Amino acid sequence: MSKESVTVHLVDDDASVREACRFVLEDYGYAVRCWPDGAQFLAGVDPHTLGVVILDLRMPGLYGDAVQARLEELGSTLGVIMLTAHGDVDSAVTAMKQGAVDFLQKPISGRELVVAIDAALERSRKRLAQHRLQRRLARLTQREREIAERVALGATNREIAEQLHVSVRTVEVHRANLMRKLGADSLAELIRIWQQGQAEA
Amino acid sequence: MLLLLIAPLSAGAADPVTVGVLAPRGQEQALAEWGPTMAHLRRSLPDHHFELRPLALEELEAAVADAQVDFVITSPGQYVLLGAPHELSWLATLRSPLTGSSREARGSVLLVRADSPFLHPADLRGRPVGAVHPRGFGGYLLLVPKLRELGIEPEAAYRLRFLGYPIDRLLYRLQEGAVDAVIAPACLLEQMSAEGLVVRERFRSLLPDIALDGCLSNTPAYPNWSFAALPHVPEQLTRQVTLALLAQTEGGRSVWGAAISPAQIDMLYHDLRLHPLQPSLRAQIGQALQRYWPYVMLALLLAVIGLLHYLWLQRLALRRSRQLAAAQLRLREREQELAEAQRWSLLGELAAGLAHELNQPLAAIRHYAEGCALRLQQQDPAHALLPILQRIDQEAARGAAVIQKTRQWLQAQPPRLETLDIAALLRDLTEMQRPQLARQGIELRLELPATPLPGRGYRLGLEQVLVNLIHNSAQAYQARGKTGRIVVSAEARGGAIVIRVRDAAGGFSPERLREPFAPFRSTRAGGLGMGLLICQRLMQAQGGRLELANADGGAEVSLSLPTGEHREQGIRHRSSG
Repeated sequence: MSKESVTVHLVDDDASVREACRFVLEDYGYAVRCWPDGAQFLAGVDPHTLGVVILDLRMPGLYGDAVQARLEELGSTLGVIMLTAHGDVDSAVTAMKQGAVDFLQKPISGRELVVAIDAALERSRKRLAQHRLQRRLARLTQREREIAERVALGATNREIAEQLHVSVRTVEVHRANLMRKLGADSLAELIRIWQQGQAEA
Repeated sequence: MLLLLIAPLSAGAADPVTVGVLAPRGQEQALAEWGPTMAHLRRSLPDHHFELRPLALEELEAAVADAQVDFVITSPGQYVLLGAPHELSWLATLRSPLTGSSREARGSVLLVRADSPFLHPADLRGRPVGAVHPRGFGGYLLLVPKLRELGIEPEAAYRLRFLGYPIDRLLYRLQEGAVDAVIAPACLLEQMSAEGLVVRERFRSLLPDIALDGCLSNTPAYPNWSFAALPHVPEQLTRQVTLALLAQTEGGRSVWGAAISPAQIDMLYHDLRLHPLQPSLRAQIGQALQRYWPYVMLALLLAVIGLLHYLWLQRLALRRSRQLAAAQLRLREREQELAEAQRWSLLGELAAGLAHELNQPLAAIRHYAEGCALRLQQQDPAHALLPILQRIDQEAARGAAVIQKTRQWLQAQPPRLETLDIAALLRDLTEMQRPQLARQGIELRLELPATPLPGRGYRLGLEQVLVNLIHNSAQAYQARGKTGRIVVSAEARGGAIVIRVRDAAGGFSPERLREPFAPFRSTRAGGLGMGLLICQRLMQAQGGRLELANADGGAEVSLSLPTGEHREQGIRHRSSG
């Protein structure tokens, strides 16, 4: 995936740091979007996209860790990097627990930041896939869910029909519908999607 | 002893009869004084040969004790001292030549030289005072009660000189100035004056005078000299002698009268504790001890218990004062500990603030240097400024490393969390802060629920936060020139212990409420604005929270801590999640 297609969000109250960071990251090829504080960022961003947010920990108003907690609540797919000029250990521990992989100490070089951004992007990509999967799974009806579960466990249409006291034809219709809803082309793919979804839940 | 045996047998013959006489003024005087009586007895009882034996006080006592005399003529004092122990029979009492009474004859007088400066017996304290004999009834013993009435214990107050017999010496010594005063038998002065031995006007009495037979006397009169028979003398002879004495006349007046009761003298001796039948003080105590032994033991026991009780109380008082001193010391140590913690927190916070303020521009420098390098590299990978840009980046990183090291050095170890009895902690802390606030006219009130408040936290950190908040409130009052009340309260609420500190000193500024923990933003002149920041950090370090609000015209700061484990029943632990 090209670096141009993802956005790196920079949330920092210090304008000159923000601009300097944008300057170096754009040189590394990222699309950078700057936010002066956490509230504006939360109001303006789509949390369920592929992307990375670099949060300054100590900001007036909403602290970086509070922004991150809010993103978690929203089930955001954005990869989070926490930056601090203080190096607060306690905040670092909290941030790690909440799912931010990287907790970096300012001033950090662009190269190091790029490594962290790529790792965060990888997390974002996975989360986004998961998110999309969950959205697809959420579209299934109760009956489709029951059938998908049995299909994934290796049951034949006949066996499923007997278990659910329905006709084989009904199972076949539901099965076609759920394959379409989940975007699965084959039985193997259905099984994979289903297992991933279960693991996430 | 011999006399005792032969006396009855020889009653008919001219056997010798010895009359012992107390001779206070010497033998001659005695022989002259009692000559007429002896002559009269010899005349009246020709069968007996009466012999007068003048004796001094001790000699007379010894003679009576050994029965070496048959009769005695003695002063009233001897009535009792000799009479009772030796069972003397009192036959007759001398009648006073002037009043003719046997009863009022003897007295005592305290004399000084007429030209001496003494006006009161008390003036004689520490002065030499003469008397005849410590048991001389006519003189010393009679006057002692008088002096005691005046609060003078002669033996202690005066330098007593017992001059002994003859008693004339008293006046001679006084006249010479060898003594400043004398205790003399009444009438001695008058008698000696009449005999031309002294001049009466050269002496005067120091005590109110009670006229006695025309003599100076300071005491009531006591009976005159008496004639007594020893128990071994046959009754017949005793009767004969008595009759003879009563028959004796001189100048048409009876010389002797009936023997008078020595009761009055007995009383006097009792007063003086000299009565021969009166047991000595030591003996009395001994008897009392024997008789009242159980009570004495009880009293002693009570005394010992009392003493032990007293010692016990002393010990308690001592221990209490030591405890107080120790508590004071602990309090001071706690205050120092808190002040120390506060200093470190402040230093840490300053370092953190400074680190942040410096790291931000360093971050910008690094980013710009690196960005520039990247762009230059795209144009010309061998550009001469590339290494310079790299150096800029390195120098910025070096500066940041110094800051980081300093930060690490100042960074406190993460506190060890424990279950705290919040109620007890608040009680101790408010107790500690109250005196200082009271001096500023600020009342510190503590409101606690009856239920226990176990919170999970870090004692010193929580105390530090509370001290900071209380001081903030106090300073807010001071800044407005007001006094008032600071209320600290606590309650268990939803799995947390919430502590509130509130005042009525105007509250926080809107700016402060919007950004409570921004450093270097004190509203106080000279303040760094670190207090709340430190508090927030300390609460965060214990997994707690700090929130600011304005309420009722004042500030309200709420602290919340997770509920700790508690062994007591009470709060229901609500798990979160």
